[in-house]
Amino acid sequence: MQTQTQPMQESVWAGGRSPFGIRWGKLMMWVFLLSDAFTFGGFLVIYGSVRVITPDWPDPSRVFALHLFGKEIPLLLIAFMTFVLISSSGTMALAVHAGYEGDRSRCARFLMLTILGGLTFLGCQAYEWTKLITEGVRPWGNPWGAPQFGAFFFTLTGFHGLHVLSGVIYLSAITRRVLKGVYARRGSYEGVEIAGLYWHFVDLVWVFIFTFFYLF
Amino acid sequence: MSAVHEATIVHGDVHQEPVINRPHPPTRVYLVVWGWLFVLSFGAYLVELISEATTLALPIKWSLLTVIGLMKAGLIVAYFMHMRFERLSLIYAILLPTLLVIALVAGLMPDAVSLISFWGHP
Repeated sequence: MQTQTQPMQESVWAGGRSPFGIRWGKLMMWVFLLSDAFTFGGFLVIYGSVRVITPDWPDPSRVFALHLFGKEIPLLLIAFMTFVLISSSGTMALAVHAGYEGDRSRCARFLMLTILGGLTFLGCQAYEWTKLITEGVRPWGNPWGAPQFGAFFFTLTGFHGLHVLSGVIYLSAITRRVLKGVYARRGSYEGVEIAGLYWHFVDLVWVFIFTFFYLF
Repeated sequence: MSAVHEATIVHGDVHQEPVINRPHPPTRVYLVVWGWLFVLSFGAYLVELISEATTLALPIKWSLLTVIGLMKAGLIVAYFMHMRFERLSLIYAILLPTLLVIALVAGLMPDAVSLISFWGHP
């Protein structure tokens, strides 16, 4: 009888065990996010490299200024978008938290708030793209300086925006399952947690795009 | 960390779905992290406004912004993505390759900078 309750002594890598201590779905999401981090990392590395060697790079705080109350306020829209995305990350964390506690309706409410944040962000981005395109920004040129500016702007924010859009669709599907009680019946809201990992990652990428593309 | 960590290892049968009430930090922790993310983002925006108004040297501005960005990233990964409560093997598996990306940046930047001295800069 005593042998049954022996605590784990062997290495977790000895086989027959899960060395990472999480279920496969979550592990696979982490691995996907790692590969996605490499994609964005690659973009940012080449952007940094080109930015440093390119003379006459347009000043982002002028390009992305908003004309409000008779004054040019630098990066106002981008600051608002950052605020919205961080808020949606916060509501996502609270949705996961509600899932841990098995609170179905609170989980669904916070998920819907997160989706709303994502949609607001996408709306702002659509406005930003429209504004810049009407001002003459193209992937191969713009009125203010180095032609590479547009190529990097559209690639970086476009890839990120696509991730936000996928996230909104993904979260909508998850919210539907929460509302239908799929996770409640299963006794586990791990699906919400995995979707949360993805959403926080999208916020994480924005931290770096905001820092390196807009503020630098 | 260790309390949560131990719990995962002792009941480490991960083929079983985790029960609803698995160890997790209280709501307050998320709210505090959220607040810090706002403060840090506002700080970054403030650095931008200050550098507009004054002539803040570019290396100082860039270092400040990078430090703030990394702090935000650390908070998001550690608390929102629960990395702080995962097993050490997962933390290494995810974070070590990420360090390679940073090494790539560190490796390429001097090359780019040396190109400036070759081609000249505005």
